[in-house]
Amino acid sequence: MDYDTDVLVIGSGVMGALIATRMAQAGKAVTILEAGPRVTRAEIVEVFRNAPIKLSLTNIKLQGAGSPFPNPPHIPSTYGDYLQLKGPVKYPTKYLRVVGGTTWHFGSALWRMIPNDFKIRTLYDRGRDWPMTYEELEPFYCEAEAELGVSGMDGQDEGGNGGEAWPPRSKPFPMKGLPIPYFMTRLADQLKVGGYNPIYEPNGRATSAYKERPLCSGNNNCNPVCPSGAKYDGTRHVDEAERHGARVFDNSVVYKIEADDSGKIVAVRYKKPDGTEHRMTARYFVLAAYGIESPKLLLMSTSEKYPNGIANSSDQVGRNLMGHTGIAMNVMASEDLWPGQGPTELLVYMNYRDGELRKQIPSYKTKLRNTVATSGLASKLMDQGVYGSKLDAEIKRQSARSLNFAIDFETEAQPQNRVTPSTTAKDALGIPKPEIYYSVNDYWNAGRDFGVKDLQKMASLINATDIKMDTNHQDRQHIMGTTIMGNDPRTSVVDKDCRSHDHPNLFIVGTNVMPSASCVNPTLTGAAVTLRTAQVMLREV
Amino acid sequence: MTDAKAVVLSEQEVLINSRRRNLVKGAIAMGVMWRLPIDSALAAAPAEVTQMPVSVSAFQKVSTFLTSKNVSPIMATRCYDALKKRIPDLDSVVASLDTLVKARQLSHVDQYLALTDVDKGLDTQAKSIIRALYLGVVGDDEKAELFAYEEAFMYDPTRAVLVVPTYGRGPNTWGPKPVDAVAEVKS
Ligand SMILES: Cc1cc2nc3c(=O)[nH]c(=O)nc-3n(C[C@H](O)[C@H](O)[C@H](O)COP(=O)(O)OP(=O)(O)OC[C@H]3O[C@@H](n4cnc5c(N)ncnc54)[C@H](O)[C@@H]3O)c2cc1C
Ligand code: SF4
Repeated sequence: MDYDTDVLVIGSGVMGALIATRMAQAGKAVTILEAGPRVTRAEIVEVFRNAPIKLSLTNIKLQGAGSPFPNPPHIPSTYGDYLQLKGPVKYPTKYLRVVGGTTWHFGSALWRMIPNDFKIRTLYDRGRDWPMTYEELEPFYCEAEAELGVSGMDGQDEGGNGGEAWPPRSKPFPMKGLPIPYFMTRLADQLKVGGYNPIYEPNGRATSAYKERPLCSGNNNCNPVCPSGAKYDGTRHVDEAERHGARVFDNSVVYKIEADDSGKIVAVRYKKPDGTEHRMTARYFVLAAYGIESPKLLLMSTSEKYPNGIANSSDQVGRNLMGHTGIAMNVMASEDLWPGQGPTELLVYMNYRDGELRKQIPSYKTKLRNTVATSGLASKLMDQGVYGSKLDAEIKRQSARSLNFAIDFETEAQPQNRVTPSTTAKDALGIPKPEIYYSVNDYWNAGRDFGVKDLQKMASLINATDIKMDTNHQDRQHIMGTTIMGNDPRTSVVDKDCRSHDHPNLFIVGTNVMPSASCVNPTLTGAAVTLRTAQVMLREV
Repeated sequence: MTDAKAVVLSEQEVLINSRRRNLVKGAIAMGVMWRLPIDSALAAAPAEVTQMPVSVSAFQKVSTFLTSKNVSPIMATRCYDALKKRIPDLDSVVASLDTLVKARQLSHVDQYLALTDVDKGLDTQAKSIIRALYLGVVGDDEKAELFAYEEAFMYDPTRAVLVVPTYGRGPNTWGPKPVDAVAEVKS
């Protein structure tokens, strides 16, 4: 039988592009179908510079004006009213639909999980265990770090206890860590007195020339776009896959996956912006459309044989949506610290990352934001009626002293938190918009109460004033769990190879396969799992 | 510290060069690449200072007083054009402020701010002008218009220490305690 391609990948984000690269390098015919258009860095940067609203990640009211990324009718931006948010807690996640995907505007914190994160049910009676161990994934963490070009400090205890290097690693970081801004060393000194162990976050910024990436030059614009490309994004692997012969079809929105009666996936259907419909066949399929669009597509792909959609015999597709729902604190420091030098993030605390306490309190990470806050401060000061020389003096004083502490909590996989295709709301192509139901449980609430006290302690250690706490379920943009991995086909969607339990030639990759969330940003883990899947696929494709 | 250090890719060169651009040059170079409402405002900005209309030079003079900063002819022109859409009687606001400054012999904006008998309407407009020049933006609704980014005055007080986002100083240019961090700030 003839096929249009050996491997058809849905989505050109980091996960899809990694698989495509590995397959193309091995000589397979690879095609990527990508919903969004191609964009160039220069365009995005220029739009950003010219935009009156620069807070592109948070500004709800002016969302259209707030994102420098495109917002065409066939793939409406998540900054508008595209996501149908239901449930008691809002989940306003901001993924991107462009060639290269969401890493275009990610922060690039690239963490490993620690061994205990893989067995939280066994150890702490919480959430779900993984069907694999840290040790099994470790070599792929090394590969993922090399592929994404991670810079980090060797020898740190990322477990948060200020002890030996942790988690275990068989290779050092591909690049040395970034220089530490003054703000972080000074703050770390002040907080050490209270037993807080600073950790400098591993991240996807180049500190030496890495592949085609230049050195990070401290533009402090990692969200929403790195102007120089020092920061990793998915286009790196899209380009690499293409160099090895992969084809990328942009503006191609997949809306249906077709399976035959034996369970084999045979084709996908996709639409172009003009509404025309197309079909493509392949021997193997990889779904890499990230945590909201992937389950939505599977659930939309119903037929007589598969009335609940593709890969969904367990009824778990779209369920177990997790995130790092967080809280935050703004304070005024008692001395000039000058956050905002260098890249936008780096210093974190994880004193409560692991341990018996996890039975009652979710694991969490506390990060210090390192953004240039001038514009927000200036407009607030003028709102308060501050002008003249006092305005300059206060912009300077507050810029040097305003700190933002933010906590990211691990959340548990709960089946009621889920993504479904809306039955009423549709996009311009007639494709259902995603509906998201999200809530938190008492475990999260216990974490919040504990975290508030912890933040207050940090504030007192630096003699901070003007303490403002925000405990309002902040979304941290980390979608996990919606096509969960497990050994049991009755309770999970894919096996540990990321192969659908129901369809032998369908693999689903991304952070959406993660059974537990840990408290750290998930992309490196997603990438490591994806590279492991690539290895499995290469043995049979 | 040098720009050259940061330049590795040709794509970057475009970006770094744009950092050095003055407003008009940038408008011409970038306007071709990306069409935005701002570009038409830029394109309309006079290339020669001598072309500045009387209304704009009056505005420039008043805005220099209100901010105690050097409002360049181009900044004045662009700010004037954007503000004029929101404050149709901008010219008379400018004239009233100018008269007030002369009549009270004010030499610094702080003296103006200390006055207790300024007409409320006039004062509101004066502060709109300051706000625009500081933020580089006119309006705070969906139709907000940007006329300056890197040049916006709000960045001046911290320029020695913090970059304006997207305009980094180059690799490894941070780390030691910023010299300016010890400077006294009177409040
Ligand atoms: C603001 C922000 C900051 C973040 N910061 C961090 C961080 O610091 N560290 C970290 O680890 N993670 C971070 N994340 C999360 C990180 O971006 C994601 O984990 C990562 O991008 C997921 O990669 P992906 O390839 O699975 O999905 P994506 O990058 O979203 O790629 C999926 C692609 O699939 C395409 N697609 C979707 N549906 C279809 C369809 N039907 N047909 C065809 N194509 C389709 C999309 O257009 C998209 O290009 C952040 C996220 C956001 C939003
Ligand atoms: S600090 Fe600048 S150069 Fe470095 S990653 Fe962020 S945006 Fe890119």
